[in-house]
Amino acid sequence: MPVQVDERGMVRLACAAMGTRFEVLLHGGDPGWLHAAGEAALDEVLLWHARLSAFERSSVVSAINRSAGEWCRVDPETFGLLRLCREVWEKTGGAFDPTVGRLMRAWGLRLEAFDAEEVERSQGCTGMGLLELDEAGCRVRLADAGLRIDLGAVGKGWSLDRAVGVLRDAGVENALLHGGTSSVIGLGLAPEGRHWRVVVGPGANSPRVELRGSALGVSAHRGREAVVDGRAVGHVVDPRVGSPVVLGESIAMTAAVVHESAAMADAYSTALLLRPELLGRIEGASTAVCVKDGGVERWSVDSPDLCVVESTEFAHV
Amino acid sequence: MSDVFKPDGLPRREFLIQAAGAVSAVALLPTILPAAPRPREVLKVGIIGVGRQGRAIAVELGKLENVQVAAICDNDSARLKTAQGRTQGAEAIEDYRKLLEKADVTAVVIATPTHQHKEIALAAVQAGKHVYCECPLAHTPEDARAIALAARGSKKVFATALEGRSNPVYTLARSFFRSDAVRAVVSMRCHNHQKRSLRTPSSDPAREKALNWWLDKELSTGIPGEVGTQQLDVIHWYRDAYPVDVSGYTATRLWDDGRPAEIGDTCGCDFGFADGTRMQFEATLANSFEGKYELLAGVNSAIKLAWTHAWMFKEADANRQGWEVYANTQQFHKDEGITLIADATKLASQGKLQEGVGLPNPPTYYAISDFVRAVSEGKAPAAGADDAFRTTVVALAAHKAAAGKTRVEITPEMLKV
Repeated sequence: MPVQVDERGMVRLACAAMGTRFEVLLHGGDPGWLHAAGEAALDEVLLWHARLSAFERSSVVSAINRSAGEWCRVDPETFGLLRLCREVWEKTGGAFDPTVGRLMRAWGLRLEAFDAEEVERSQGCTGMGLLELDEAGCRVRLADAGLRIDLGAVGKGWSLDRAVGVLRDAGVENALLHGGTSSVIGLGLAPEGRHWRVVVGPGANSPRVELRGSALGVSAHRGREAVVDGRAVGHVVDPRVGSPVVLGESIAMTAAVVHESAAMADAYSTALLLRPELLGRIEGASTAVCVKDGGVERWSVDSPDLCVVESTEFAHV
Repeated sequence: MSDVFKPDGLPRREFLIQAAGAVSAVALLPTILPAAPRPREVLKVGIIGVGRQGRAIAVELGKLENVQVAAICDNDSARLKTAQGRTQGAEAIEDYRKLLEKADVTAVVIATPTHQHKEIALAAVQAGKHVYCECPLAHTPEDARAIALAARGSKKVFATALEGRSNPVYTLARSFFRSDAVRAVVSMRCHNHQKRSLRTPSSDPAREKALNWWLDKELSTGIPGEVGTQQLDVIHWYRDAYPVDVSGYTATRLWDDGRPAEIGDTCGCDFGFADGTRMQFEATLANSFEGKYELLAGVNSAIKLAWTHAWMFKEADANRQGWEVYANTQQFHKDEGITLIADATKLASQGKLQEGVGLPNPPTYYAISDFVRAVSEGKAPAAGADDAFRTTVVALAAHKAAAGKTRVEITPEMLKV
């Protein structure tokens, strides 16, 4: 069976990674070549899954967590990701913070059940300032032995950035990639000759974004919520208070950021969710959207009204 | 090479001693997670070939103290440029001969296409480098033999990437296999399912041909060589024996992209051993179900090996050692597997046995660490060129049998270096 293309002339591939489904859509060339390129891009995603997963004992993240209190040598690429995390942590006043790993587990937002005592013990065990980076030695150290990192809020975007690099190296000009639909990159144009367009959310009035060679990161409290003492809590822990939000309170429920980097879009969307006042102040972002109970706040450099989307077949939080 | 493994001739209960308490029993298990090697002086390594595997090795080398990837080499300039962006301060060199001229680079990793191994390996030995060579060793038995002979003549370390032999979980499971835990072998199986075409993309047709060397029937080692070598070696290593014949088939079930029928995307091989036991190798690129594992079943139990994990499934009538009651287990439909945990002694004493499930690093880490340890401590590597030569010969025989849908004999003569 030769490689199949859909009715829009696109080759589609998918893989399971980082607890979700990654998909690549490509067009503009020989289907066999496009498929091979998509396969290489997904290989890159799987490679990063193996390095960043907090659930795989052989991952780099697990190695860093195991060696808390001691220096741990990592590869230069992973070191670059941690450097980026610290940069965003500083710029968002700590709203984005991958050192919430222990709290995520304690609150029952990973594999473990909610553990009130562990929540208590984990308070204070956060802060990227406690993650020491040794540039020359390519080493990292969790200064507090109780600290644990979790790169779930940036891993999908980081992987997609690398996967797009693989596609570019292969000569691919047009592709859309996403991880669980909450991290998306548009490369080149859609088959119809316009930029890739994405709807943020399932509703008819959901904000719509056009990706001009850029990435979209979406964060939401809902999606994988947990139930604690009979109350539903969101799946994003606020590192400043050490807990997730209780769903139903008047808070921002969805945040989206368009950025040239999917990793940045992911990280900043998490920060925006927790600190809506960052709207319009995110460095490098062309568009940001914050959906609250009372309505939608929008900010955009490219187009103040955002973009009207014709095709809504794709993308939802 | 020794004779076919004879269970009766092996030491029984090498380390499994009946004990009353869980911790005391577990404490009898060997500590097998090796400490990371740390050369006294900085070991500068050159990586020749920076495709997928070369990159994976660079990542694992990057985790080791006092080891530096000083140079990378690839004759594909686009790939070399990308790789340089991923390594820290490594010099990029297009011609491997220039890399071998660098006196400060004392060790090299050969991760090029298989048919290029011989020329580079012989030159590296000639240049006095320590060598770590990917497997299969070569695309012909003649080339593989030439490499093995060169390795024998080398005064430096010559290690090969048979990753099972340095894998701590596999080492632990092998100890069980060679004790009374499994006893007489009943059947063996290597399963390798993945859904990928294994075609490398390039916008340049000339470059694409070079990058897709393994789909060229003149250069390819087929599915048995490309995806099966590591698994076949595990069986050889566990049994301390090599098969005497192989028959097989290959077919194209999904990737009908012009690849030769002799290579295809699906392959099955049936190996016979001198003691009458048989081993099945089943591989496809058209379905990913159950991934990659090896299964060795004996009259007392079966051992399943899945590279980062391993389990033992005991028969109901098999002797119990006591510790099984306290072991970590995992359910596979109706079968309960005892998780084999590396470094169980240490973890059990800390009450953290559960945290020990799975390898703490990828298998490639242990293979490359073993090489660095061999270089820095003057020890023999876990996998040498002779081992890789024999497994390569078996894999090539399997490819020949599968491509021709025929039976191929594997004689002792073929396995002599």
